[in-house]
Amino acid sequence: MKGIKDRVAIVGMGCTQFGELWDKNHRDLVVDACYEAFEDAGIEPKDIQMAWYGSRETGFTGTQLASALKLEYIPVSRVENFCAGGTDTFRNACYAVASGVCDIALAVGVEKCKDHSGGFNLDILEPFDRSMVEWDLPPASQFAQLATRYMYHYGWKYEELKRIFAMIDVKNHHNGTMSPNAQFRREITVEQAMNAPIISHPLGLLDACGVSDGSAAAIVTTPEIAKSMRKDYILVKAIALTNGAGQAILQPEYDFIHFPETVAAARNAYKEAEITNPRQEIDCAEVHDCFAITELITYEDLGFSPRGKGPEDVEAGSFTLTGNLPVNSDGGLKCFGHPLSASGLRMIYEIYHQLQGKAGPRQLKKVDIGLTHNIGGICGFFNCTVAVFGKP
Amino acid sequence: MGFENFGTVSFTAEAKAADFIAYLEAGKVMATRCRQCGASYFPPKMDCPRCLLSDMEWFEIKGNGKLSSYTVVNYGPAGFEADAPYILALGEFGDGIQIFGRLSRDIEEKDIELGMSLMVSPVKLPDDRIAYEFRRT
Ligand SMILES: [Zn+2]
Repeated sequence: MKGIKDRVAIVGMGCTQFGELWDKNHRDLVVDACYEAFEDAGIEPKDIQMAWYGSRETGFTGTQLASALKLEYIPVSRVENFCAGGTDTFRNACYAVASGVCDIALAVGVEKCKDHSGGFNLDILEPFDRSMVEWDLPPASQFAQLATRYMYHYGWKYEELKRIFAMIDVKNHHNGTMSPNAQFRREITVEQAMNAPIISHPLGLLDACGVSDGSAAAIVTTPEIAKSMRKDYILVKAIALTNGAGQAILQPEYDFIHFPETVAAARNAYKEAEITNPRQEIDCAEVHDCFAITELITYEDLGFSPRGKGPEDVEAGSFTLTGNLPVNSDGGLKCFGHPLSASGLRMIYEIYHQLQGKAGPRQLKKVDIGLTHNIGGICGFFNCTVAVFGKP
Repeated sequence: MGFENFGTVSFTAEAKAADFIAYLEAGKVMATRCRQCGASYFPPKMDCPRCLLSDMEWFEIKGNGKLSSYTVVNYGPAGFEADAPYILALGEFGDGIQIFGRLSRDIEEKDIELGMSLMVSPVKLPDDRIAYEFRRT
C-alpha cells in the first residue's frame, strides 16, 4: 500500500474572518476563502479541475460551491463528516491528485452556524438500538463528563484540574490575540477562566469554544507542478481518518478518558508520515480544543504526553508558543469558534503558514513538521482526522 | 409497548430491546448477557457485537454501583430546556456494566462525591412516561 506521503503539495490557501458574520452568506464566505487561495497560488477558478465542498449545516450538494465560484461543469462533491469534515474534504482532494485523475484540485469547508439555534442540530445516535429516544446530552455535557471522569481516574481535585483547564484557555486566548481572523482576540486570566459561569460542571464558559461562521480553502497539486508554481509549497505527509463504530461504548472496560478514534488515527498518520517519536519530531500542532478537556486528552492520545501526564506538560508550558511543542498557535477553536466543516481547513491554513514562515507575530522558530487533528461526535462514534505536513 | 413512552422525547416504539420497557414498568432495570460468550450489555443489546450472535438473556441490575463521573446540565438541548438544570452521571455496577443516566432530583450537587454508592431504579415521568435514574443507596 502506497501512502500519501510527499505525493501531494499545497500551493494556495485562504481563510475568512471567523465570527458572527450576519452580513455574509455561505457563498460569500466561500468566495472570500477561495479567492485568497487563488491569489496565493497564482491561479484562476478555471484552473481548478475537481473540487470538494465540506458542509454539515450549510447547503446541500456540490452545486453550492459550483455556483459560488461559477465553475464550468467540473465535478464537485459535497463532504460531510461532522467536526472532521474540513480535513476529510481536503483528504478527498489530495487523493484525487495522488491518483493522477487530476492535476489541480480545490477543497473548501464552510459553515454558517450562527444562523442555527444552538449552532447545529444534534442528530445524535440513540442509546438504545433503533429506539429513536432523544438523548438529553448536549456536547458541553458529554465532554464535561469526560472531565469529571479524568478527575475520578487520576484523583484530581476540582480546583486543581480547573486550573489546568484555565492554563489551556489562557494559552489559546493569548495566541488568538495575534490572529486577525479569530473570533475572540483578547487575553484572559487564569482567574477569569476558573471563575467563569459553569455551562456543565466542571466546564465553564471559558473552557468552551465559541460558535461561529467561517470558511477556509486549499488548492492542491502534484509536487512536480507545485515546484513550477512557487518555492514554498507545502507537502502532505499523512492524512488519517477514523470513524468509530461504537467500539468504545461496547467495551465495558472503556475508561472515558481517551478517544480510541484519535489513538487509531494518530497511529495510522504516524505510520504514513514515518514518525516514530511524535513528541520529538512534530514541531507544532493544531488540535481540536472544542473544550479544554478535549485538548488535554488529545495531548495524551497523540502521544505528546504520557497517559495522565498531560497536566504536567501544561504546567511546564510545553504547549505555549515558547514551549517545545506549541499547540494551537493561532488560538484554536477556543478563539476561532467551530464552524464544523471549516475548522479542519482553518487548522491546515495555520500549519501551512507556520511551515512557510509566514505566521506573523505567531511565527515559531523551528517548524519542519506540523500536525492537525479534529474530532467530533459522541463516545464510541467519534469521527477523527489526523494530518501531517512538512516542507519540501 | 416499546420505547414510545421512554424518556422525555422519543419517536418510535420499535426496538429489538423493547422488553426493557416492560421490565421497567415491572420495577426492574435490566441488562442483557450473551449466552455464548458471557459479555454483558447496558443499554441492553439483543445482538452480541463480540461474537455476532443473537442469543441473549436478560438479567436484573441489582446491588450498588459507584459514581464514576457526572455533570450538571445547565443548558438543556432542544426538547429538554425545561428540565435543566439536571445532573447526568455515569455509574459502575460491576460485571462489565456501566450505566449512563440522570441522578434523582433529590440528590443535590453539593452532596455528590466521586465514588459514592448509587443504585438504579425505574422512575415515572409526567404524562405517563418512564425512564430510570440513579438514587442514593
Ligand atoms: Zn457474545
